[in-house]
Amino acid sequence: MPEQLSIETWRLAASYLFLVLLLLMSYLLRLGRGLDFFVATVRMTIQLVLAGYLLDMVFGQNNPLVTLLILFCMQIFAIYTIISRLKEKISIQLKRMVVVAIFLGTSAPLAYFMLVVIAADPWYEPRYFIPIAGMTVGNSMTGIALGVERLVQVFKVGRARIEEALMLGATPQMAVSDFLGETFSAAIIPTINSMLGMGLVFIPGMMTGQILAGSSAVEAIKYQIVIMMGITGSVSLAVYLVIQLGYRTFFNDRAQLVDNN
Amino acid sequence: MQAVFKLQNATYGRILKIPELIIPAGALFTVTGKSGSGKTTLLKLLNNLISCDEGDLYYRGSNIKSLDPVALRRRVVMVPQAPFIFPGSLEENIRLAFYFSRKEPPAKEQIKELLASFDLPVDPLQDTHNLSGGEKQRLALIRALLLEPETLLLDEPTAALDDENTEIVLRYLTDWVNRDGRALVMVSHAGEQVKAKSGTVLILNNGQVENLHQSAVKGVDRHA
Repeated sequence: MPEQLSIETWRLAASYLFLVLLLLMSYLLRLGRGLDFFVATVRMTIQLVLAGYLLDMVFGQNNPLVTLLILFCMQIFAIYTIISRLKEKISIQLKRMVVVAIFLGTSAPLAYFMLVVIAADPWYEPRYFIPIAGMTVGNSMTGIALGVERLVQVFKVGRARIEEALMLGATPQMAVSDFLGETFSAAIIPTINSMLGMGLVFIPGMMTGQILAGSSAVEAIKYQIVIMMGITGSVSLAVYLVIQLGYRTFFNDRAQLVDNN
Repeated sequence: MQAVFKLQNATYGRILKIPELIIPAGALFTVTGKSGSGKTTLLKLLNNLISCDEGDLYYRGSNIKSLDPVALRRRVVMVPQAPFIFPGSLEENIRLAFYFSRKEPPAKEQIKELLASFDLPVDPLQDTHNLSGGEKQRLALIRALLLEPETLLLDEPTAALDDENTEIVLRYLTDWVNRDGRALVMVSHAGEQVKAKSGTVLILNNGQVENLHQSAVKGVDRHA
C-alpha cells in the first residue's frame, strides 16, 4: 500500500489560493458576495478543525455510550434541520412522525450495517460507526425533508381528489395511495440518481478520501458499494415511515380530512 | 314515514344550527337557500365528511358516531357541486369508484346504458379530459348511481345542465328514489322544475331552518 502523503501546514495554507481566486472573480463580476464566500470558507475551516479534534478524541474512546450519544446528537440535529427548513408550517403530529422516521429509519439500518455488513469488532468501533452514521443520517434527513414537503403539498393541491375518493367510500389509505407512491419516488430520486452517476460522473467523497489516504481503489470501491446500499436502505425506510405515518396525521378517527397542517 | 336521517340540536360552528330535522326515504328531499346558508355543510355532515360540534345525527336509527365512517360512506354516497373526475376514461372513473367502495364493477353494457340515458358519449373508453362541465357532473352522478347506495347526497346536480338535461336527470332521480327505501337529499337553487318533483323542500337561512315545505307529497306546509 503506498504511503499516505502528509499535508504540511504551508501547503494546507496554499489551498486557500482558490478562495482568493473566487474572491477575485466575485469582484470582477461585481457580485458583491465576497464576504459571504469568505465567511463560508472560514466556517468550513473552523467546523472541520473542531470536528477533526472531536473525532480524534472520540476515536480514542472505547465506550459504546459515547458513540451512541454522537449518533443521538446527529439524529436530533437532523430533526431540527428538517423542521426548521420546511417552507410550510407542519402540525405537531407530523413533527412527531419525523422524529420516529429519523430514529427508526436510521438506527435499524445502521445496526444491521454495523453488525452484519461491516461486522466491526467491537460493533461500536467509532472509526467506522461515526462516519457511516453521518452519511446515513444526512441522506435520510434530505429524503425525509423532501417527503414531508411533498406530502404537505399533496394535501393542499390534491384535496378535491382525496375528498372525492372519501365521498365514494374510499378509506383514507385508498384515497391517498397514488399520491403516496409519487411522494416516495420524489423523495428517494436524489439517492437513486447519485447511484447512477457514481464512478462515471464523479468519484464519491468517501472513496476519494480513502484513495487519498492510501487504500487501494478496489478496496475503496467495496466500501463505497456497501455504504451506498446502506444509505439507500436507510433513506427508503425513513421516507417510507414518514409518508406512511405522516399521511395519517391529515385524517381524524372519523376518516375525515383535518386542517391541522 | 321512515326517518333516514334525524338531526337533534345539531350545530357546526356558526354555519349550521338545526334543533330538529327528519329526512325521510322515498322522495326527493331538496335543500335550498342563499349562498352561505349552510346547504353544502349539511350534506357534508350527512356524508360524515365533517362531524357536528354538538348534538346528534342518526342514520336509519343508529347514531352516526357508532357507525364505521367508511362503511357509512359506502351506503351514503355524496356527489359534490364540482365533482373531481379522475384522469383516464369514463370506464376507468367508474371502476375506480367501485374499487373505493370495494364492490364488483358493473358490466360494460350497464355502464353504456346509463351513459346513454344521461345523454353522455356511449363509448366508455373515451377519455374524460374533453368533457364539459355538465358532462362531468352527469358522469359523477352515474358513477354514484352505479354504486347503488342506499342514500344519495347531491350538491347542485343540475347546476351545469340545460333545461332538457335537467329534466332527464330529475326524472331519473325521482324514479330512483321511489324504490327499495332509498333516500335522496339534493341541494339546489330550487327552480320550479326541481320543486315540482320534490317530496320536501327545506329552506335554510343563515344555517337555520327557515321553512320545511312538504306540500308536494302530503299537501302540508309548516314552518319549523
